[in-house]
Amino acid sequence: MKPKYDIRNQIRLYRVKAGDMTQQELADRIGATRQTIVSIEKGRYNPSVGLALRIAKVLGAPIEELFQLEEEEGDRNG
Amino acid sequence: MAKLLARIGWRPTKVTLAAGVLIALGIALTGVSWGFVFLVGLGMLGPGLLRELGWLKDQDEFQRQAARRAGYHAFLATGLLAFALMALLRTGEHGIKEPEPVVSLLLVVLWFTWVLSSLLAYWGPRRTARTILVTFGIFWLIFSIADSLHSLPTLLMQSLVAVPFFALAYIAGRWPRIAGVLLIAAAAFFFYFFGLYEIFGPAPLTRGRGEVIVLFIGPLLASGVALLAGRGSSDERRSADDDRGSVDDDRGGAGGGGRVDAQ
Repeated sequence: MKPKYDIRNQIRLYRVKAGDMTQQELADRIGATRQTIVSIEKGRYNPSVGLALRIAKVLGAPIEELFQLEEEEGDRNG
Repeated sequence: MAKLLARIGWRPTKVTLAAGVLIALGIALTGVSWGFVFLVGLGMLGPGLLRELGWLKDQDEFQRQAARRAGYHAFLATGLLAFALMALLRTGEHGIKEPEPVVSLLLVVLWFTWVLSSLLAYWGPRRTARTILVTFGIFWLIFSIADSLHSLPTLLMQSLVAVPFFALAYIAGRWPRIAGVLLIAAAAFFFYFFGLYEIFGPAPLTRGRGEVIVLFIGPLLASGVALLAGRGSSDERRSADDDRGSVDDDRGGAGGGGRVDAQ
């Protein structure tokens, strides 16, 4: 069986670090809607590489810290 | 008006508003000539066509993905219905005399599936269910007011019918599973109450029965199923926080995640 992965993100955390930036402010700065930010933060939508890079740039965070790939617990042991 | 829409978390673009005007105009002018129904088609499909041609760039990637996925769902639902109707029409007595109800039903299913799928992808089950229920409640209220302006007691009695919709919208925000069960029960009740089971009878599509099922029973059933099939409670609680519409109440908290399959 193919392993499954979770893409975890720390956007909320980095928004706080970036001076309590709101979802709307982040959305405006990357040219997206607030609902898109909501969906990304909730893990309902995985952004394209381009959008992920734009988010990382605005938040001043390394992209590998903003988005992390985690193998699911049940799939680690095959 | 824009402020009111913003309060409920919906900020329609100029294109959406223009499309809405075209649809309303098209529907209104069908009283003059049914040729104007094409305006409804332009309003419904025009913006998407312009986006696909690259002439209109008013959506971000998440919105485009939701719209395209919804388009695929609409293709599947309408395609299946078209084949079912073809099978019905080609096999003996079916009670369908005119092509118009068939075309009308196909268009309604196409539109309904697209809208519902887009909303579910964009807003998630809770907010979609709440929006549908509030819309139903408002429509019922307007209908009641227009129908019983002559008598205040009748107006009050009829308006009470809108209350369960608003109550269900509230319950959907707090206890989605309970709301899901109630919505499915309501869909079954209305299906029986309005005699819609006659769709399985000798004249299935008379009196717009198919359209009523899709547009009235469909939203109740679909939001009920979506609420029951929604994700775990912690995710839903966060979802509820996010969906309140305020940008300032959701600054902190843990990171989110989404599943992907290995390629």
